[in-house]
Amino acid sequence: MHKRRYSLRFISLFFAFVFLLLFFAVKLVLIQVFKFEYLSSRADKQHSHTIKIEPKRGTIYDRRMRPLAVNVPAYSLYASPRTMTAFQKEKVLKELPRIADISVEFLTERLNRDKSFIWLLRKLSPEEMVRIENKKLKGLNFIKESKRNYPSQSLAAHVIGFAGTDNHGLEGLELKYNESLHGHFGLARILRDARQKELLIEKSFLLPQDGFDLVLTIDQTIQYIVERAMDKAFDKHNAIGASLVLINPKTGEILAMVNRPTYDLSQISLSSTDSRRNRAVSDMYEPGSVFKIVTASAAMEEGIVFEDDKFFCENGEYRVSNHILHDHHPHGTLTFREIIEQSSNIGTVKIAQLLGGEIVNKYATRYRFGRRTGIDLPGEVSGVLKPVSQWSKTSIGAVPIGHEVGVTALQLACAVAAIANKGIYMKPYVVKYVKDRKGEIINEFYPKPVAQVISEETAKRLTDILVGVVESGTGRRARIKNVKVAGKTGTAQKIVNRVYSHSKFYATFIGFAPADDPLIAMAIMFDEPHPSHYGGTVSAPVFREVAESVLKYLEAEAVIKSTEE
Amino acid sequence: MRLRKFFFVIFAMTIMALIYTQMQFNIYALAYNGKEKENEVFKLADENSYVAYNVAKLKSANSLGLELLTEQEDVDFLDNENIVRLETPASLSTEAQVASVAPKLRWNLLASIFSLKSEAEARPIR
Repeated sequence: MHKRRYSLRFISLFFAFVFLLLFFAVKLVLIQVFKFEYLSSRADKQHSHTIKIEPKRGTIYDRRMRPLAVNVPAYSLYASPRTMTAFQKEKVLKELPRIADISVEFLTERLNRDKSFIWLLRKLSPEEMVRIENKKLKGLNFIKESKRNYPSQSLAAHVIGFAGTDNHGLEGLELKYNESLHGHFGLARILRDARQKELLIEKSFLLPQDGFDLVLTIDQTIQYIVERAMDKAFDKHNAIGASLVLINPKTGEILAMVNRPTYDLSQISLSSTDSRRNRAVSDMYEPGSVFKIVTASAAMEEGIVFEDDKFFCENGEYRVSNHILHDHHPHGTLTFREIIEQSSNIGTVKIAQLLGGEIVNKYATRYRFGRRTGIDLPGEVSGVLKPVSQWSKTSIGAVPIGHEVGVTALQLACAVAAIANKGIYMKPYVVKYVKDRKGEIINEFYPKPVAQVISEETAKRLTDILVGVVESGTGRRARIKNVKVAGKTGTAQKIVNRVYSHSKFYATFIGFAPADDPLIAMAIMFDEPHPSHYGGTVSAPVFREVAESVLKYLEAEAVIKSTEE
Repeated sequence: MRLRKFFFVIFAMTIMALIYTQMQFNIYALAYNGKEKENEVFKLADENSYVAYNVAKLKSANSLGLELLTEQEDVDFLDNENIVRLETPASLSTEAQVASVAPKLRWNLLASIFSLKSEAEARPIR
């Protein structure tokens, strides 16, 4: 009897263990076979982490490889409100506004959101980051990003433009070449431990492609010379706007482009839309007497007029259809040369009447007015040049002297550069080449002749006349010691409420130097200068100041270069 | 005997397992160290970027202009006439001609007796 009971207990225990073993075996099979995919992926999600690797945005250099726009690391502050206690939030609200530029109200609103991740401050400088980090505020953390910085601050602001918080270009070259500058994101799948700390073990890796660099035609030194001269004149003449374009007439390279008002690229949030506008390419205006280069070119190229041909300038009053045309100073008889030198409206209109509207319009088109130059900057306008079919009876008295047309400062610079370049119009450009980080050139841009606007002979004769404008005409304030300067002044009334104003003017000067072998050509425009408002008194002195310094700089560079060679 | 073999096998397997586990620990320890080093490298690279940016900012025409021209407004570029070029005259343009006007070397008996080489002389670089 006793033996049988012992055997029963033993067998029951045995089967209990077998049952337990079977249970665990089945569980194991369920976990390792049937739930394998699901559990694996959950483990993978916990252990692995995919990070996006931001590419480095390309640098923008001037023609001598001096950086104008660079990327520097920046730290952005975020909070995890969901994981923060009330005490931690209180501490943050108390400490953070004292050491960072953030208001209590903004911070309160952010910390009250039921989120595990919320931005507080973006792209802080290293000093700001260290100040916040030292406070050891729980619930706050930093993410490393990159920030676009501009070492030259406001220099060439309208050309360079700027990139936004997400490193995408919003204005200027930063916008135009955004695709080249931006690069492509990379990816890395890395391991992390149970505390979410990252390990240096990569499961997979896709290299980011850094952005390409831009090398411009702009020279930082020349740009500074121009900006300084424009600042002085802008303040002196109380203008509301101004532009200057400085171009190499032989190649079309833009050496400097300045607008006023301007803005600081390191403080974009403080700038207005008005100050960010690149007036040199996007503002058109009636140029006035500088447009007489078109009429003069047409007259000489067509062989209608010669330098010593005389015209009676009606002593300052001349009727064109139902409109009375005036000269600034009444003149009697003037030669063609003197008409341009003294900028006689009546003399010019008489020459235009000899030519006819069709020919005047033809040469205006040849000088590419009414068309975009095609410069590699955003926002360029084409200007206005009416076809002859749309001319009124008074247009022959307006268009040849620069009214009823709309031009930009860039178009004027290119036009006068064509005269300087033996009649050949060169396409203006700002980017010399695009290269990668290793220095290999991805894309290079070369000087591109667009058209022979006038013959070399006509260009030479016209240059001679324009030298006379500066030597003995309205452009005397553009004279430079020991250098022959060719130029033309322009003073145009502004249209205000559809009527020509008697108190608001555009003052323009266009010119190039040295006249016998031009190195630079320029167009300078001031909008509403006062009290002085003439091109000869406002813009011509700026030409002189800029050209003097720039020519010395270029000659010194040439001497240094030849010595090195 | 069979029990001894059994214990030996178990012991060997345990040792192998321990070695394997130790290697895995080492891998992860290296990974942590590597990450720390990487962070240090990134920190140095960041500092380098800031320094480079600050240098570029100080070197920029804007900054230099403010420093130089705020007090001295009449600082200007040199005229061509202020630049002096030093050129080799045409009469001395060849090596032979340079050598011909160079001071003649005196043969020194003592120097030639006591040294194996000739007296040191400057030789024109081609």
